[in-house]
Amino acid sequence: MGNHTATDYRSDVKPVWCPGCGDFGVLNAVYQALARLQLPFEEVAVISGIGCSSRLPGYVKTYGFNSIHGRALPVAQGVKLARPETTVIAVAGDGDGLSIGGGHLPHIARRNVDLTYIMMDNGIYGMTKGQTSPTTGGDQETKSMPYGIIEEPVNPIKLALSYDATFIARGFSANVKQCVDLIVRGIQHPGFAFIQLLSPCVTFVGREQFDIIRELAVDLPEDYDASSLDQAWQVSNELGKISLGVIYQKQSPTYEQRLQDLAQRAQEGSRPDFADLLRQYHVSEPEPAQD
Amino acid sequence: MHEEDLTLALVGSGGEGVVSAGEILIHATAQDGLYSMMVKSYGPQIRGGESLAQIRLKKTPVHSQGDALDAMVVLSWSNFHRFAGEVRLRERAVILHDSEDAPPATLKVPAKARFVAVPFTATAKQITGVTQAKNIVALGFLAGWFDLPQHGFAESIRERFAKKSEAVQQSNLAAFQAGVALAQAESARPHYDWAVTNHEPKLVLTGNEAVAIGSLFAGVKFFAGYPITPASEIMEWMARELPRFNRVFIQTEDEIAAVTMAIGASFAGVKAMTATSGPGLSLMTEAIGLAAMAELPLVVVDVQRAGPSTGIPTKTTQADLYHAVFGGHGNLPRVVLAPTDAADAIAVAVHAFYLAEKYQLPVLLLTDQFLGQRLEVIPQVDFEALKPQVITRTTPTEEDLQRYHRFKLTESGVSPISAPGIKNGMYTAAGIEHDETGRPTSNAELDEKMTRKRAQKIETIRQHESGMLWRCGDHDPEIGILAWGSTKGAVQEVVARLQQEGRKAAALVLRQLSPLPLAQLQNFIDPLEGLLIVEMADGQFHNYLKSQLTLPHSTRVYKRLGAALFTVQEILDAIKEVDALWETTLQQTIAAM
Repeated sequence: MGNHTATDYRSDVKPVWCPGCGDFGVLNAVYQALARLQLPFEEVAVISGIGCSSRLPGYVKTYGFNSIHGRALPVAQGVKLARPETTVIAVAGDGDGLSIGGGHLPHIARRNVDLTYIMMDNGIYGMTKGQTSPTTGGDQETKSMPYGIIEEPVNPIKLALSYDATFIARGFSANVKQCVDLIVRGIQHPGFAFIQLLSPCVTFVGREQFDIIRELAVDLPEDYDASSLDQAWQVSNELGKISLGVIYQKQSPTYEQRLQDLAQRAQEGSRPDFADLLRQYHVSEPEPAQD
Repeated sequence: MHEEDLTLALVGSGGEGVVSAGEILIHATAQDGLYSMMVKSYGPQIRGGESLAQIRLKKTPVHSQGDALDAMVVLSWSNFHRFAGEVRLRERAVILHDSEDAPPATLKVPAKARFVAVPFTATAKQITGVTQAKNIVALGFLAGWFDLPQHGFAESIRERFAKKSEAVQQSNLAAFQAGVALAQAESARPHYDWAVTNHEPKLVLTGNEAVAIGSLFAGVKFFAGYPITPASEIMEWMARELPRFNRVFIQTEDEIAAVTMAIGASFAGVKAMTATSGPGLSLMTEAIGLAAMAELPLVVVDVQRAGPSTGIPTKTTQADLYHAVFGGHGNLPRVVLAPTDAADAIAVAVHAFYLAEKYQLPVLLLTDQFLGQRLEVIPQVDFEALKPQVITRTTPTEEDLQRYHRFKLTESGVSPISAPGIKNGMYTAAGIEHDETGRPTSNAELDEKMTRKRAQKIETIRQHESGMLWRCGDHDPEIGILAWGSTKGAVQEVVARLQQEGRKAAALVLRQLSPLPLAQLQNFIDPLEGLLIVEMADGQFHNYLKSQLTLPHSTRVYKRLGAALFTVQEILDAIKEVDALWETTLQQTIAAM
């Protein structure tokens, strides 16, 4: 293991994000989390789709993949299952991860693939300059809904809970220290870790998004029991405040473990052999007549 | 050796064991040295409905399904009307039907066709106590009627009922023998000589199985797939076999997840693939562009089915050509391969991984329902000969890693590819345009350079790889045929027939649609008097060739828009049109002199 500082994980690519963007806090937290775990650069892959948040892999000096809109999760699963020793972090925005790519969330949750999924939620489409996203709420007017939003926002924590994700957390990008802690715990969690990081868009929502979240944000109380599904549902339903911390965590076999068990069952002690396999398709010659 | 050539069909309702009887016949006769091919035709019903198995049997390899039937065994007439149009009977065909089920009065058959009523059901009931075994009685009757060698049947029937009790196996064997005896009691039977002197080692498999076997041999480590007719068998094969080889199989939530997971696996350094059919390919198209842009090896199999949209899932087509060759936005370099038959499907699957790994790009492998789901007996495949093509991608050297540029500009367009785990090889793969290091860019000049780099790989393939052409016939033909993929079988027989008539004929069948081996194609075309292009699509292949080659004036296109299989005779008839066209061209040239 080396002795990497957070800055060591910075690549030399300059972020395209607007000054003051919440995503800087998330990026900073990723650097610090990697440094805290002292992960070798070549053993980490940061995978994304498309959007402001999805530029993040390029800013980290590990392996990265800035793929296509909505597909961070399947690409990340492909990486993890093909090379399980890799630490895989998927990052997505709310539009990327809950709209176009929303269909992948239940399936990674039910597989419990061991990777960490950071959803950088700014409640807007930033890269395309200000359209309604699945988490845009309230009385806003957006470029795609200039007369006001007539749909209810989705609740990412409720989704993750109902999909039975084994690790669910929420943080706020202005509170980097807590984000680092959540990301570290997510990486350490054996299985799928879903982390919603509220990450304001200063350009298309406005700087006041920071103030609104700051006003509503509270840390989960000391005596909060993250193993309690009841408490987790209560947190997901709360109005007038936003609880931050690890909301729910449970242990369940990872997909990789299940794959290994399955392979063992499939092999039943026999060694895999191509010639044997081919024999199933061979035509057996008629046996010569016996006396 | 007399060239016996027998085409027969088993017809019934789903659940009557038409296909399983056909499979027994194929396996049994293969043991006695015979070659065969079986195509199935069935309706959309999950259970029940119509079912037809057409089998062609020869002593030499079978290339096409057979134009018309020498015999048709009808287990029940109830669903016959549904594919009455697909059934072509020879002039002197024999129609074997159950004594308890008279042919419908509306049935039209050739004047010299013969009906033979056989107590299939009654015999099954008498021998086994139940009627289910009527397909086995019918099988016995066929074996007896056509003098089929009978050594293999006992073992094949036992194998078919291997999971049932000894008593069930015995009663089915008895049902088979009773069928044979019924046929042998008939006096006016044809005579066939099926004796084969030299037994060659053989394989029995479908095109879908062949693709899967070839992929495993090529070293596929990761398969992600989503069920779709008629490609699901590839996925199910992988689900069964990959875990045994410590490789990863995953059934995904949709086709987009399947292809992007495979791309993720490829990024992680392993050979990865998916398999689908037309609707799935449409969904995967954006991701295929990602593989091209991120320069990641990827193999995508498309078992074509009639489209567009849902089309007819159980029927074949070649109409995904445009989509495979041109589909996707942007300048999207890709290779498109198309095997001709089951044996070739093994070789082409190996070649698909070879090209994908060597050139770091998506390779589409186009088969179709006809090839994918037909059962073939083929000569043993020489896997040793395929071994040199089992390669892995070029990874960066220590020197490259001193200052690693993932997308380094090179003459061939290929640059060494790193993967997680390789120290100092870190880079960000991206669908967004990027410079040599992988850094995003929107610089037009850089975009031009990088686009050219990716396109160069296609030119390198065109110049340095084989071109994958399959050829048969004369070296200096007057009449030529161009076809691609699974149409090869019919075309091969057409050329043989033309040569028998004393014509100088040849066919070139493309197994690689992109990039086109232009020089070799033009060399074939130029000396021809007449050219016939055969395709199962509305001119896609013709237009594609026309856009890149100079075709002769006397070019005809024989195209099939519906989902029926090509017959040898209809292609021969189309050749006559080419001849007429050549005559006219000749007259006009003379007149103009």
